[in-house]
Amino acid sequence: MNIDNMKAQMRKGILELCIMSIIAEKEVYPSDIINKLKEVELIVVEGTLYPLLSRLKNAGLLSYSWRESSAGPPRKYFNLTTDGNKFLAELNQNWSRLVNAVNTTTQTKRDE
Amino acid sequence: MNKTTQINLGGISFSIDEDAFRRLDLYLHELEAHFEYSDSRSEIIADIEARLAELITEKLRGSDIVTIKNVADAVKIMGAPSDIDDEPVTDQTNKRSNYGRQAWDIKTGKRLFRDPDDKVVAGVCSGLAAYFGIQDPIWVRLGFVLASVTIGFGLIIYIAAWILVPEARTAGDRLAMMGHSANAKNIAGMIERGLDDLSETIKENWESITKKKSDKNSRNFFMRKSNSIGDDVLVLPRITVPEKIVNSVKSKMRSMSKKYDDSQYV
Repeated sequence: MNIDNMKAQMRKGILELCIMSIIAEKEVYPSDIINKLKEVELIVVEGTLYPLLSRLKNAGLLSYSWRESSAGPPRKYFNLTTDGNKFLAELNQNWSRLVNAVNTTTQTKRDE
Repeated sequence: MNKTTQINLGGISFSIDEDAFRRLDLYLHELEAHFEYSDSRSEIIADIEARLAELITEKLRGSDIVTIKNVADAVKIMGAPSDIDDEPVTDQTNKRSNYGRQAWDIKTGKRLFRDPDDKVVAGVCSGLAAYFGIQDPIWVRLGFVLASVTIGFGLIIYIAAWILVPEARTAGDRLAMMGHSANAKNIAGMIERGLDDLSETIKENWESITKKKSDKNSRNFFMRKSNSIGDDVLVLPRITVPEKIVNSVKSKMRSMSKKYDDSQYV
């Protein structure tokens, strides 16, 4: 058992949920997402985001449109699709259940 | 003094030092090799390029020329290809673990394979040449022919080797055959060489069509094709490409993609 690997797995499991939540809040381009994820230390190397975004997009959960930017070339702005919104709602539900489950089990142990 | 080059990265134009350019180019090649199996490879890499451009612009702060440090910093933030992975995490420590499959990863020494890409009969001789570091397999071939003619059991040894020695089928096999370990750089290099092969194939077919009548017999059984690409290889006139060339290129492509099928990223 490797603790770093374990931590990385935990982080990866919730990355989609967090990325989709950020996008659900408002239309963003990848660097916005990166900044938020870095703030909360959910992402180690930035490159991880791009394959993930493309996978979510190919699954029909995200869509994007090109927008002009004042500083440089046009940027890809991401949006949740209808399917994406449903997907996120379900993930959120599951997350709450997990948090409950984890809290219940870990606290029981502590109380003993 | 350092030579600079002008590049377009993610839609932004940069003047970049030559060493910085090489560093960036290598990184992008590694990424390409890493995302080889992804259908969205070009999209992912375009996104990464755009972000690299943004990172480098932030770092430049008024300075005009991108230095190797700027590139290295941006690449560090983006992450090494092996750290960029959206597949479920596999055990990062497997290089030290005892799983059977990983034995292959540790082994960087050479392994004996038959080389299907450079063969006269079954690739035994070119495989042996690669194994012993002999530049040109012709000497091994001559040795076998001599051993067959003079003492007689060269042929038997050859057939035994044909049966016993596996063929190098994957990119990893080929790298092990050459004594390289299978990392992104090596695999990227193989892809480049594959493209050289491709132009060679086009050249050969072109020649075989244009020079059909002439010197048919000048190609001796053991004569090796020249490795240097001739002056007029790719200067083809604008014509409809004959079907034979198209088919041979297609089959070459297929064998290339098959070769990389099971290649393992370390």
